[in-house]
Amino acid sequence: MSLHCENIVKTYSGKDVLDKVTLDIQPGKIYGLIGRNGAGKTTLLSILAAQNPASSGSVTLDGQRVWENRKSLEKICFSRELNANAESGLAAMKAKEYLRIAATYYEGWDKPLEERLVKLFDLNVKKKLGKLSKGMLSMVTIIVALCSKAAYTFLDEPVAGLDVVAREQFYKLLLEEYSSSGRTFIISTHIIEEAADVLEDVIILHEGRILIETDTQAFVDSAVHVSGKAEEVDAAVSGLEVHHPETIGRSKGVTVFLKPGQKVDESRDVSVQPVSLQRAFVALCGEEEGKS
Amino acid sequence: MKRNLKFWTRYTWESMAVDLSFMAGLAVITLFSAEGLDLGMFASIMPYYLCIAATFGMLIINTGSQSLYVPLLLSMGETRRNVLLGFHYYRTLIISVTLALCALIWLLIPGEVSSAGLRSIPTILCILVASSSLGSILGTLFTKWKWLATVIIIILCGGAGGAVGFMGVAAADSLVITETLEMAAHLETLPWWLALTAVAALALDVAFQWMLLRRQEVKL
Amino acid sequence: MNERLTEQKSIYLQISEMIETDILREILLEEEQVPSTNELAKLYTINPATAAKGVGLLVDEGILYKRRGIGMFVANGAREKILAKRKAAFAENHVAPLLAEAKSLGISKEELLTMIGERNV
Repeated sequence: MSLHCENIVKTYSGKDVLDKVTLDIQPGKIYGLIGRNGAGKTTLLSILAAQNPASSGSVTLDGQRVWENRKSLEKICFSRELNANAESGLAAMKAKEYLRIAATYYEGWDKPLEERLVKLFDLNVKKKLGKLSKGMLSMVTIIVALCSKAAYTFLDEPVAGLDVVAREQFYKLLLEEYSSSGRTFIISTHIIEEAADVLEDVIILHEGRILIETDTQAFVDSAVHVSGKAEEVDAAVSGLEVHHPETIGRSKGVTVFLKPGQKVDESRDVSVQPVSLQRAFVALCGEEEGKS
Repeated sequence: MKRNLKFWTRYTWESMAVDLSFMAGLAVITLFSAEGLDLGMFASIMPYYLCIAATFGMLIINTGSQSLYVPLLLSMGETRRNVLLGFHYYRTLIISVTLALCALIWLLIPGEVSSAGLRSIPTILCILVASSSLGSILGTLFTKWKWLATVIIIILCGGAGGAVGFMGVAAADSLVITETLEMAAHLETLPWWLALTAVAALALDVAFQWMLLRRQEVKL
Repeated sequence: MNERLTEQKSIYLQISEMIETDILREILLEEEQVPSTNELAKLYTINPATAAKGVGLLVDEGILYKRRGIGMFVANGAREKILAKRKAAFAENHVAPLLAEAKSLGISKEELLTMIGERNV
């Protein structure tokens, strides 16, 4: 029982945006989908929700194909990031109208929750989407995601443009909804640090491929920062998976990803420090220029 | 499907409201220009105005509905098949309601114009089907090749504006009713080429729409 | 319970330590119910699974126990257990770094003892 995608390939004008992505989304978890700009996050979510067709590969929910299957689609909500610029037809649509259409299409729409959130966010629903700020548009997408009550709910950059108080509010609401319903959420975000503690599992997408799909805590615990005199550091981490080396004079710092059973040689004169999810992500995906 | 029907039914009423206000606009032009107006005559040409409004309405509104609502509904988890069915349900509904309204007015106000009107219904049906298919093809084009459709829409809007302007001028000469009646006389017999055009446009529209809809990418 | 989380340590360890500290300070009393994992999750904006892991650690140590269908409670003798545990860890966690820092600063053992003696403990 899960949302599963197998060997998803997506090609746009000859370029592979997604390259053989296989993922198993277990029910009742909050996943974080992180990756740099252009890594393919939105494309992946669109394909999981059957909003975009894959070039090849399949998406199934509980063994049933998702594409053109209303029964499966009803259990999935991908609340897209809204870009109501002048070109988009959405610019002229009132927020209220957008929410009304969502309420029509999502089977389990939670009207009282919608009213509560509109009030909490102080959202003027009579305004046209084109007249709303980036943060307010994010609020609209958050409302759709939470009120849809879909078993599998995806949010694309839900906190973009929200101030720090609203972001905190969002994470608390998400946890509240998650605790009471046990729904599955996939949240793609750039603001990793704040989200880190909320995400049970983390999926790292890099250049169209899945690099990591694991328990967030286990991933963070497996990464350490080792620093000291260059030779000492090199000796301490020899044979380990080393990323993102930085040197200044004789001093060197590296991020090491430890496999089970591996250890940094602490008999060397080095400092070994824990790293945050964000630092671990940068070490993994932010290779320095010139390195392939 | 129930939710889908609910959405498109509501959308039909909203479009109908636009058509009715367009018709009202034409009616006002006539009222202000025609002298010694016969009320019965006036009422029995209203259906023609409604059909003109519906024709232009479908040409223009369809474009918006397709480039805006189709991706929006897909983004809310509707299947492509249901979106297509829903859209054609809307078309069927709006054409049926328009024709039913016309027939009702003509039946309630008997007269020469009205009986001619009733005989014209098959022709009007074909015109409505053809123009709504054309509008829909434009809408599909618009989703995929925005610039091309934009050019066509500008030409159409110009045409519509010209037609209204012409009617305004004609109205100023208080010829509008005569003009309308002259036009209506042509509608009584259904030319075979019009019937063929309507069927062909409809088939082309459905095929073209489905071809693109099947692989459409949602962009809001 | 209202301490802040830091990045220096795994979140679940911090959760279990915070509960322990509250028991030590008698903010939580023995045989009293502790907040549910969902409440903890919301308070700290962390995943409930992480909170559950922290609580689970204390259950394994016999500091908390579960009452079916009601929730988690502080066990009898939990405070004693935590005191013993913290005392055992004190030398490792606090004295060792103190001595290491003293050594690198060239502070002698006598000086260090004097410094400690001057403080009113």
